Amino acid sequence: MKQSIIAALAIASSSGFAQADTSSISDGEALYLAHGCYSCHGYNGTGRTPLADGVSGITSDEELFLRYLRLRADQNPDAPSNSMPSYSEYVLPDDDARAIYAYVRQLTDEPPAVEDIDVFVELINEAEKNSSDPE
Amino acid sequence: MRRQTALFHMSQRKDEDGRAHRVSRRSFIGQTAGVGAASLIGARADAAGQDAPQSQEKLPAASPAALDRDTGVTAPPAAVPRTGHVPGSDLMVQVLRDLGIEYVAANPASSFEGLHESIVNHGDPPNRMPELITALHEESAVDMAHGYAKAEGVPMAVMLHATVGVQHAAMAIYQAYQSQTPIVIIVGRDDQFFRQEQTANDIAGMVRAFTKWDAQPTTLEGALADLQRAYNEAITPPRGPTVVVIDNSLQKEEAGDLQVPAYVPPDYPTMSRQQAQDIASGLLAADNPRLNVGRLRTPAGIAHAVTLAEMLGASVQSFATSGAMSFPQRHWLAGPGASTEYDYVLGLEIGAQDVSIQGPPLSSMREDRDPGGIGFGFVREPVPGIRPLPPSVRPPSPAKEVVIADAEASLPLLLDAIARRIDERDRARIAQRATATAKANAAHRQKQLRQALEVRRRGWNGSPVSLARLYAELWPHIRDENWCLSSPSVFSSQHHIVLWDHDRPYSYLGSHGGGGIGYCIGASAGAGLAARERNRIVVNIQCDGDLNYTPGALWTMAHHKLPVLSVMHNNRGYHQEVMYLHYMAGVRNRGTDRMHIGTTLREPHIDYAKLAEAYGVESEGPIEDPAELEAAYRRGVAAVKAGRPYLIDVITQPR
Repeated sequence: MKQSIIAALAIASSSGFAQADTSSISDGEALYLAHGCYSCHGYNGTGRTPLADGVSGITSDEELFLRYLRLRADQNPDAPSNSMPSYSEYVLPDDDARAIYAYVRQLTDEPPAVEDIDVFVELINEAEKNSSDPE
Repeated sequence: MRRQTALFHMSQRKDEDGRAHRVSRRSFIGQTAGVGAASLIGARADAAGQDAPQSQEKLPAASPAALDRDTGVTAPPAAVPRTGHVPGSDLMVQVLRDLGIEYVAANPASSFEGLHESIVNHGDPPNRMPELITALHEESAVDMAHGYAKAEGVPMAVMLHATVGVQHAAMAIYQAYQSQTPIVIIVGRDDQFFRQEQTANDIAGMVRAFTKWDAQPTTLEGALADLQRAYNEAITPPRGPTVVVIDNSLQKEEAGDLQVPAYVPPDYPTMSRQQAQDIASGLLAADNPRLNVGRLRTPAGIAHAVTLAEMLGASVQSFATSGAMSFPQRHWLAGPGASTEYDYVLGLEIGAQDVSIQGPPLSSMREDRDPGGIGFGFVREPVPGIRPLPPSVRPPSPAKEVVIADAEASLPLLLDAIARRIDERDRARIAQRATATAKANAAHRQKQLRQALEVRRRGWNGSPVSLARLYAELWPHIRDENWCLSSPSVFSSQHHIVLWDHDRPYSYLGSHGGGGIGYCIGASAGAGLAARERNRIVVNIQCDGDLNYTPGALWTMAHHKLPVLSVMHNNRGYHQEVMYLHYMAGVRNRGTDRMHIGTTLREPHIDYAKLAEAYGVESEGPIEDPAELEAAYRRGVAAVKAGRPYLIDVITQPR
């Protein structure tokens, strides 16, 4: 399975992406929220495990994305877990999963650079000051 | 209805008179009933589409003088005490005062009316050391004591009412027990004059399995001694809540010539001089020694740990971002050091590679306190590999040697042993090592910070607000203040660990103790009690689900003027359970679009700013635009610095 994911990633890196239509993006947003994707990925793909701006490898290719959703069903089934749930075709048909993919693919974040956030710059300056005179 | 109308007109006439006058108890009750009736009538009239009454009487607002009296600023009018009358509860208050107990939190009740009366009226000044703190729920009262003790390292007291009050408080007591936090709990008991359902032969038995010690004295003399012992038991390791059940009759008993017994401080278990010498030899012989500093008892212990690290030039693993009373996080020796190949690691109240000095474990009390074998918290050993803790709180591997002794009390012995052995050659070597350690730690901090900021800039401008920004934007407003983070941060992704500097004993008070929700707001009020007269402010990153258990603690903050800034982590749900439930549905292959049922707080949304306002706490929000945070924080910090609690409702990303 690991090999197939790597292979899919390789395919994804060399392929283009089809332009999604507006309706599938809109449907995808509703499905993204209904199926709880926001729980970990944030209401706009910028949560603890971000998806916006294509920063996650699993959103690099639609087929890879679908295969990833179908994984993991048998991992520690008895232990409470906040890791990625399994979404089978039964609970999330392919068409719905593709709509979510279309929605996720167009999410953007465009955060400011570290150097453009005042409080971050102050933190860096403070750490550098301590570095020059640690004691 | 006719009677209510008559009452309404009667109270209305009083309004028209506009006179301030004293009312007897009987007329006060009548007046209050009139107000209630008036409100009722008004509501019904509106509902029926009729004209509402033009005015409704309200109880007069408390005068400034009355407020001062309520909050203990001024003493009650001087009165001639009854000749020769010294109630036993006056002596109990004297015991608490002598022990330095600042506060007693309670929800009022008949079983401790004697002691309550003594606290607010006895002494000069009365209602000081201890001061009566009004809690709106027994769970809040114990949570307050929990937060206070974590911040100060010493206990405050709580009064609970008989069987029912103890049951209200039980979960909070359990959490204090699991976090080994000292609290003195006084339970009122009355089996003569009140409801039989509220008394029992052995009230403390309900919480015995998760308290450290309890007593039910039968004499006034015994009650005074037991209060002193309860304090000593609470503060000696393993620390925890203790209980004294005191009959109402003992509180009211004439004390006569009885005197408060002399207080004898407890003995802390220390290591032997030989053990201290052996550890000193190991540390001095090592090329790359290291200290793991867990949770000590008091700031004095931290000062000794800092001295030890500096004497050795040793790198230190601090647990200041896991809880209170650990080594300063940004001390120049705190960090991995120049090399992680440590050849002698000493743990202080935490595991370590070589030797660990740790007080007796909680489980050492199991057999005495849990004869029924309930087994709270000791059902099984933790399962390795399943859901490991985050690195900041993961205990190091077990030590080769564990010295069962109180680390804080043992440190002077170790410092003395090192001072006697260290020579000039050691000092030169240590100075060189200290410089290298400091340099390496500073470089590590820079690298760690750069990496962390790169991750935390994501979603910076997004709405709802990212939790990283929620923490980051607050830092410039508190950095130069004497601050305390009172709330557990496990649910808000712990961004303070890397963004803030935890250098004071109370910088971060750590987790709930038992994972029980509803702790934050009460514990924050307790941290506020510790802060109020120490030029300190408290920051409470308050989860929405948690606040709904005991929101009455907000009123306690307002009433007692506690400097607590509550920032809502409002993700409108019990988010951990949202994730767990999704995982479960995925495993069972059904209904992953139905996991909001029973886990979310929507339809309607809860307005926490209004909730706070209702309890008398200044507030604003909900804030969804992160650009509004900075100004809100500025207003909030200004308010708490002026002694006014403040709440900012922030709609956030789930995690």
